[in-house]
Amino acid sequence: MSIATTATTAPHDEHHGPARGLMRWVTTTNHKDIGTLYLCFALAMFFVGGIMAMLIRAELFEPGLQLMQPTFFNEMTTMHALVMIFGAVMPAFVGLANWQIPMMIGAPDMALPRLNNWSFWILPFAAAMLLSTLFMQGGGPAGGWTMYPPLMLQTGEAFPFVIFAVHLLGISSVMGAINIVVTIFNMRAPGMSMMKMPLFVWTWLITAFLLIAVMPVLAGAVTMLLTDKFFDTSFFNAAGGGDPVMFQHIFWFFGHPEVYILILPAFGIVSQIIPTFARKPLFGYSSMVYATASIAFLSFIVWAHHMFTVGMPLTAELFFMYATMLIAVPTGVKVFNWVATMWRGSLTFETPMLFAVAFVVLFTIGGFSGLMLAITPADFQYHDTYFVVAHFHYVLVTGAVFAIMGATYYWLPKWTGHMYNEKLGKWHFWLSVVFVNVLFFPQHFLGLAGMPRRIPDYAVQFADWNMISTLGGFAFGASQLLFLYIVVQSIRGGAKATGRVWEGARGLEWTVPSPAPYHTFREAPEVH
Amino acid sequence: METTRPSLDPRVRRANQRLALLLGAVAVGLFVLFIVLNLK
Repeated sequence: MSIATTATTAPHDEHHGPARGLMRWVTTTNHKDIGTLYLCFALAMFFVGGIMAMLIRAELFEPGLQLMQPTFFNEMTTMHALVMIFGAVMPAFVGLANWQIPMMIGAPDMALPRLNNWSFWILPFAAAMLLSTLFMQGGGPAGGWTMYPPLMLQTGEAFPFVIFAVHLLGISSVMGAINIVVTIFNMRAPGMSMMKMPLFVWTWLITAFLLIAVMPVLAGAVTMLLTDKFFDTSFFNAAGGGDPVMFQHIFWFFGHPEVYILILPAFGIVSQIIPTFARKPLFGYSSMVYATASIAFLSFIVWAHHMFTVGMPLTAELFFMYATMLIAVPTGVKVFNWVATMWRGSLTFETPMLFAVAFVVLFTIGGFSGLMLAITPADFQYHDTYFVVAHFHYVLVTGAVFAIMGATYYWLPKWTGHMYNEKLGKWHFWLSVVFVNVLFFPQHFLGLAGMPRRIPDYAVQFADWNMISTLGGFAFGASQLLFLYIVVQSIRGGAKATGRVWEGARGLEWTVPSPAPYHTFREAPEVH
Repeated sequence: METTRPSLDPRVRRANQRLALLLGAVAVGLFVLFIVLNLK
């Protein structure tokens, strides 16, 4: 971890603040403004996707069709995933990157500020287009976020709009990733060598390379879907000599690195929070960097574990099984290092630390169920059941979303200049951590008992656990309103935050005042 | 509108633009490659 020794802001910041009014947000090229825009957008999409989740759980409260037609249910499962992945989690991480990376490496802003503005402003239009498909003739996409043909090709008028929205979301992500790579490579303060960078910066650098490598693959796959539908090509059409399974291979060649795009920045966040509240340097810094790089490399050679049941040569199944299991090694290194950082630390459990500790425990549960799914013969039993739903929600909700919430509590005083309400923050944490387990843990049992995913109705033997899961879901969803209240309250006022905010905080971002001035590090700080 | 950001050294700015263009070209190249690989 680096230590700054010089002052960080120019003396005339107060004369060079943001423009006033709405145009500030439309035309801004300031990394902090754009970070705020991303985070607000992500929070809005989190609630939009959350409402869809509530509708899904409401329908599944008891067997039989209660509230909606099966097609609408399928639209909800599809859109919930697309909105949460591309609208909530990824933009939230980009927002955190925008706010924090320049401040963490001593840069005055992102390397390409206009590109940064464009990256963000594509997003609301793409999301609006995606959501508008729900009101089109034939309804929105209902074939799942994986968009497998031929099912996806049955989508009505919405089809080209979904494809275009995915293209736009991908372009936005790639532009954001390019900006992050260039910023980290070219804009570091003197003395901030690569191996002195905070872990959040490292994990984002690796994530950005993953994004640049795989978002074009998704764009290529959906473009081929588009030409199959409208231009009589047969990339994935068996009747024309194409291969629908090829789409699955291409999709998951994107899809598995995408999973790590959704979790590597979370690893970085937890690696910032735990040392702060353990009041110790991160244990095994360099091994954390190499483990992150290893996970990113392995993510390119495990894609077919998502499709074991589709039919593959035994050799391929064995290869993908063993390669998948290998990911547990660098992931285990990370979990070990987080625990070793806490070991004999001077621990306190403010809200960010609570979320970070919950992340370590609950993400590890998601990792273990992932290992179970990696076992090819067992996967034939689990495939497309609620066990998979439980697995990836442990990874993405108690993993990625908990890390984002922990990061919000951790850096909110730096952004707003006010401490959030710690008592309410703890309430939010405990309500979330209890009810998220009530929501998702029973889904393991449902899956092992054979309940398929993506169905609006189910056999009566699954009724009890579904009822409990739905109750947990409603309570977890309601708890997030408390999160919104706490964030808004902190923006509006509260106890003044100091520059350092947390006693154990280390790093350049804590050397600037709270709230962080509009422009920071006009002159590069010295880092030893 | 917002004109007061510290201006970058032109050499750094050019380096930023070159690296961004290179990465953008890689992204576009991968997009084309994955479609071409699927042509028969």
